[in-house]
Amino acid sequence: MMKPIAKSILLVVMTLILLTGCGNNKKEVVVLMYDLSDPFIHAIKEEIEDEMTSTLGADYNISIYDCERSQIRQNELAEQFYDAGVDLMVINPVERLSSYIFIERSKKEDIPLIFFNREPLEEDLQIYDQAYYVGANAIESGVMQANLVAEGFGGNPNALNVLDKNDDDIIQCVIVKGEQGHQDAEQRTSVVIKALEIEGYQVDVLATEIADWNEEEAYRLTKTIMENYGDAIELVISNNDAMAIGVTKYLQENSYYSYDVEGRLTQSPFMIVGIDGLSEAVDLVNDGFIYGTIINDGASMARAIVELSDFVLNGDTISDEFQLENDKYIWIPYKNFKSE
Amino acid sequence: MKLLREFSIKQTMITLITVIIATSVILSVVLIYTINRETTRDLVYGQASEINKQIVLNYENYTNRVSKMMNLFQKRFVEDDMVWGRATLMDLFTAMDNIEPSVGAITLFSNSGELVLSTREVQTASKEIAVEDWFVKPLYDNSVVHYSSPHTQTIYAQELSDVISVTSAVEYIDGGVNKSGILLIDMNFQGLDELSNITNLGEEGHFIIIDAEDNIIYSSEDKYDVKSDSYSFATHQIFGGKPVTIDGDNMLMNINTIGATRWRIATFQNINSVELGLQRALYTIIVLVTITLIITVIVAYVVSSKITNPLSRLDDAIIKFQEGNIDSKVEVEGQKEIRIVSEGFNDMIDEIHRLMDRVVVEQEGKRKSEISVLQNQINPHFLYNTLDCIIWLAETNRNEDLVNTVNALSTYFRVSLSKGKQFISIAEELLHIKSYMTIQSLRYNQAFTYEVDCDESVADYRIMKLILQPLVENAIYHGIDKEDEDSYINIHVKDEGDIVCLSVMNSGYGITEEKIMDLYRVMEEGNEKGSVGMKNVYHRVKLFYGDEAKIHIDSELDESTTISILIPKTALEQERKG
Repeated sequence: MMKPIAKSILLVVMTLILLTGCGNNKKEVVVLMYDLSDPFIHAIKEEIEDEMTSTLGADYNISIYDCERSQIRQNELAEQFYDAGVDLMVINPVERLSSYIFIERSKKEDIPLIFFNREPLEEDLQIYDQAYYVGANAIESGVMQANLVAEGFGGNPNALNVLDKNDDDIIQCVIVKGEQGHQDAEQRTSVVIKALEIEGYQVDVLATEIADWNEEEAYRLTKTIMENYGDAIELVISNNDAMAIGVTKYLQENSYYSYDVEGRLTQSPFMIVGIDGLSEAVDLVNDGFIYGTIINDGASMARAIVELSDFVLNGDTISDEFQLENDKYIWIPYKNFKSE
Repeated sequence: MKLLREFSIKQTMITLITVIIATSVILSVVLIYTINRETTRDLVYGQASEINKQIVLNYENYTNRVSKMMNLFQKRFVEDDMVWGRATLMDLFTAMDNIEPSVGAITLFSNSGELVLSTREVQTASKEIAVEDWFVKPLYDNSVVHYSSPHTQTIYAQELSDVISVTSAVEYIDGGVNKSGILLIDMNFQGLDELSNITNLGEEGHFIIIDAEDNIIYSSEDKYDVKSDSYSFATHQIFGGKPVTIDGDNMLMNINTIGATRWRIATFQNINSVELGLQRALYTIIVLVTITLIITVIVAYVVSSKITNPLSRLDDAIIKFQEGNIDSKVEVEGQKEIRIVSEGFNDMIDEIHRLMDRVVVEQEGKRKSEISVLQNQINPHFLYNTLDCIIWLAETNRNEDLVNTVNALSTYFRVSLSKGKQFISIAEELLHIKSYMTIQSLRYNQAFTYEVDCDESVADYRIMKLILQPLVENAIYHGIDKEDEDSYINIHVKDEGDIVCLSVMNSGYGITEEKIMDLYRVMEEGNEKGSVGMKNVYHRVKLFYGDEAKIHIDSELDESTTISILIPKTALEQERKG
C-alpha cells in the first residue's frame, strides 16, 4: 500500500519515462521467489542474478522478490506486476495447486510465464502456450536416491553388505518426509521405495515422519525415531538435505557416531541419504556422516531459466545443455554425490 | 490586458479578485480532496485486503486440519495392518468422525474401488465407485489431497447432501501386504458455515469460494450463485483486488487462493459507507466552495465599490461641472489617493471661483475707469469754459481763432466718442490731444507752446483711447508756470524697439524726488488722495496691458517733468489685430 502522494509522484515519473522514451527499451522481468531464507532457493536467486547480469545484463531489468512462503504475498506481488504490465513473469510457486491463477492471468494479459522448482499441474500448464516449467524431475531424484542406496548396500539385492545390520537382506528404513502434499515430498518418497523394489530390494518402512523440509523439525523427530526403532534402523531416507542434516546433528550430539583417536569417523549407526546438495550437507558427506546426497543443480536451473527467458523474449535458441520438452518443460538432471 | 481596458475599475477588480481567489480555493480544495480520497481508499482497500487474508487463513486452517487428518490416517495405515489392526483403525475413524463435526463419513477404498473400511454402510458397487470423479483424481495425481465440488454423496445407505468429498491416495497394509488405496472423507458445510459467520464484510458483504474450473464450492449466501454478478466478477478477475458494484452497493472484491486446494475465495466487502462518506465530503466541499465564491464576489464588490464610488461621484461632479454647475464640489472620502484627487478637484473649483471673482472685479474696474474717462470727456467745466472762450472770441471778432476752436472742439468730441470704440490708433489719439491742446492754448491765452509728434512706425498701433489726456491735463493745470512765456508741453510717441513710449513733457517747477515716490505709491495703492487722473491712467494701463506696461515719472527741478507710458509692442500688436 503506497502513500497517495508517492503514488502520484510515481505515476508522474512513469508517465514522463514513457513519454520521453528514456526508459530505455529494456524488458521488464519479475522473479517471485518462494522463500529466500531457504538456502537452495537463495542459491538459485544468486545464480539467476549472476546469469542475467553476465549474459543478458543490457537487455533486461530484472527484479527479484521474496514471497516469504506466503501464497497470499505471492498473489499480491503478482497482481501488482500483472497490473503494471511486465514482459515476463518468472515464478517459483508457493502452492503448486494455486499456480493456475497465474497461468490464467498470463493468458488474459498475454505475459509469458516461467515456473520453476515447483511444478504446476500439467493440465494448468496446458491452459496457456507461453507457460513453461523449469525444474528437476522429482521422480528422477527418487530413482537416483534409490541407486545411491543400492550402491551403498553393495549393489546386490540378494546379498546386502554389512550395512544390513541384522543380515536379513531386507532394508529396515525410516523416511523423513517433506511437506505433506508437496509434490516433491510425495514423489520422492514413493519413487525411492518403488525404485528399490524394482531393483529387487526388499524394503521395510519402519516409519514415515513428516518434517516439512525443516532441519529443526527433523532434529526433533529423530529423538522419537531413535527411541522407537533405534538399532533396528539400517537406512534413513530424507526427502531433502536440510532434514538429513537435522537427523545427523541429533545423532552427532547424542553420540551415535564412533571416532578414532584422531577424531576421524569410524562408524555410523546407519546409512543416511538426502537430496539437494546443500554445501553443509556436502561437507557432512565428505566427512562421512551422511552417506550421500543427490545434487539438485541450482546453477543449471538458473542457467536454464535465463536461456528460456531469452528464448521466450527474443526467440534465441536454447543451448544443447537443455532440452525444451513439449514446448513447455526443461528438466534439470540431478547429480549424485557420495563420500569416497 | 487590452480586454481589461474595456472594463471599468470595478469590473476589473471584481473579476480579478474572483478569478484569483476562485482559482486558489478550487485548486487547493481539489488537491486536498484528492489526497484525502486516495488516503481513505488506500486505507479501506488495505483493510479489505487484510480481512480477505484473514478469511483465507481461516480456510487454510480448515484445509490444513483436513490435510493433517489425512496425514494421521496415512501414518496409521502403515503402522496397523488391516487384518489384525482393523478394530483400532475403525476406532480412529469413529473417533475422528465424532471429534470433527464437519466430517460426515470416512471411508477407505482399495485402488480398485472395493470397500476396505468405513464409518458408514456403503451400498454402491465397487465398479461404480471406481468411476467417481473424486475416486479417479487421486489415482491420477497421488501427490495432493483432492477436494470435490459440493454434491450429494449417494454411495452410502443414507444419502449425504451438500458434501465435499476430500480424497487422497494412501498406502495401507492388508495382511502384511502393502497396498495402495483411496481415502475418502466426506465433509459437510458446517466447518465452512462456521467460518463464514465470523467474517466481517459489512452489510451485504459476502464471499464465494470457487475452484479451478470455476465451480462454486461455497457461497456465504445462497443468492450469490453462478448467475450472480459476484460470480462473474470473480471468475473474470481470476485473482487480486478490484472495486465493483453489486446490487447497487459499492463493494471491494478481493480474490486469493486457499492453500493446499484448487480453491480461491472471493470476498466482497461493503465499502458503501466509505464511498458515501467521500461523496458527502465532495458535496460539502462543493457547497463550501460555492459559498466561498459568493462571499468572494460580495467582498470584491464591496471593496471595489469603496474605492470606485468616490471616483464615480467625482466623475459625476466633473460632468455637472462640464454642464455648467460650477458649484459642483465632491465630498472628500474614501481611500487616501481618492481623497487627494477629491481635494484637488475641490481646490480647483475654489480656484476657479477665485479667478472668476477676480475677472468680475477687473471687469468692474475697467468699466469704472471708462466711465471716469467719459466723465472727463464731458466734463461740464471744460465744456462751458470752452464755450465761454468761443463767446469771447466771437465778441472780439477773432473769427479765425473762433473757427479753429470750434473745429478743435468738434474733433475733440468726435475722437472722444470714436463711435463707441475703446481702441483707436495712436494717430487718432494724438489728433484728439492736439484738439484738446488747441482749445486749452486759446483758453490760457497762449500761455504755453505745445508740440505733438509721433514716430511713423508706431502711428498705426492701436491704443486705449483717451490715455494721454489726463496726463496733459495735469501738465496744464499743475505742471507749467503760466507766468513764464517759455512754458511748453511736448507730447512724443516714440518707437523704442520692443516698446512704444508715449511721453508728456512739460516745463515748470518740476517734482521733487520725494514727491515722485509719493506719486508711485499713490498710483500703486490706489488710495483716495492724490491725482485722480494719474491713478486712472495707471489702472487702465495695468488692466489692459498687464504688468509689463509701466508708467515712468522723470523730473528736473525748475526745468521740466516727463511722464512716460511704456507699453510693450506685443500687447499692442494684439490690439492692432483686434
